[in-house]
Amino acid sequence: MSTLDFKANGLPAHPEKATQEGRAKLVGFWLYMSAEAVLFATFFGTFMTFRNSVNGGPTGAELFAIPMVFTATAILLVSSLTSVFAIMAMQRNLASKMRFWFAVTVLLGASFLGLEVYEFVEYVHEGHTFTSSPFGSSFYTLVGFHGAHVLFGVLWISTLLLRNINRPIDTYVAPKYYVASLYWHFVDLVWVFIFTIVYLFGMVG
Amino acid sequence: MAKKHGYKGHLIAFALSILLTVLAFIAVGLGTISKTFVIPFILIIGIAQAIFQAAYWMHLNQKGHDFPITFMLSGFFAAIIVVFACSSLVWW
Repeated sequence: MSTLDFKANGLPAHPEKATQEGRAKLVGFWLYMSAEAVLFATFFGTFMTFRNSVNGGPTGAELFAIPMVFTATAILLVSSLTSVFAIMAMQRNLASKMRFWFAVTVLLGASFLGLEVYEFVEYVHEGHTFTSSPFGSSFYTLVGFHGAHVLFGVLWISTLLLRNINRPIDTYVAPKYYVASLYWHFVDLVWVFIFTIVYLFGMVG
Repeated sequence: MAKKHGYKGHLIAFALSILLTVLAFIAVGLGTISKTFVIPFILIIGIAQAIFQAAYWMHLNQKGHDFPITFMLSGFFAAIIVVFACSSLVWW
């Protein structure tokens, strides 16, 4: 797909970077991302420290089950791909296609959240709560905070879709969609470390 | 990769992510591989997957992304220090 093809669609090749405001949004967003990386790092560090301090409660190896974690991982991975499709549709000026892929992304995010709530309820029944042990506190802080990010992303993208439901793609809205999709990728990126460090390490012991 | 930010590149990144994820789950799920091998193995493929996703999905492999790369790398640099500090030094 060359630059000319995009221009034939009535949009610059990168509508999200075509304006000063769009570029400024991106710089601000990346600053925010690095701050978020540090924030999650402190939670990861705390979790690594306490992951075996179970205080007589259930351990990670007893709690975590591969099918559940794998399903959650697959859902989030696919949702990252669908948000990529949405951005590619946006850059080709295909508004309804973009809305479709973002809607799929939102639905996948919501099902991830549903699964996570179900999972947490299970754990609480098994005696793994926020206050039961240092492992519990650091687990729910880290995984719950990631879940809150997923929830925020779901609300953010839904709001964007509803607010601009009849608006064609232009250089004003393009940066908004683009930044939301970058955020979504970041949330997926954090999950890669969560399923590795929290769940897989936990199952190994 | 010829088409760095085309449709194909994203599908390759997705296929690689799935492949690395499945590999990690199999390594743990088998339960027969020793812990001293599995832990570094899944950590390394986790990092590899993160790099792929950052490059393709967050478009860091495209031109003019020096600033974002600097931000992300400094973020992860701080992240690694924090994880090391918490998980080892704090305990002594």
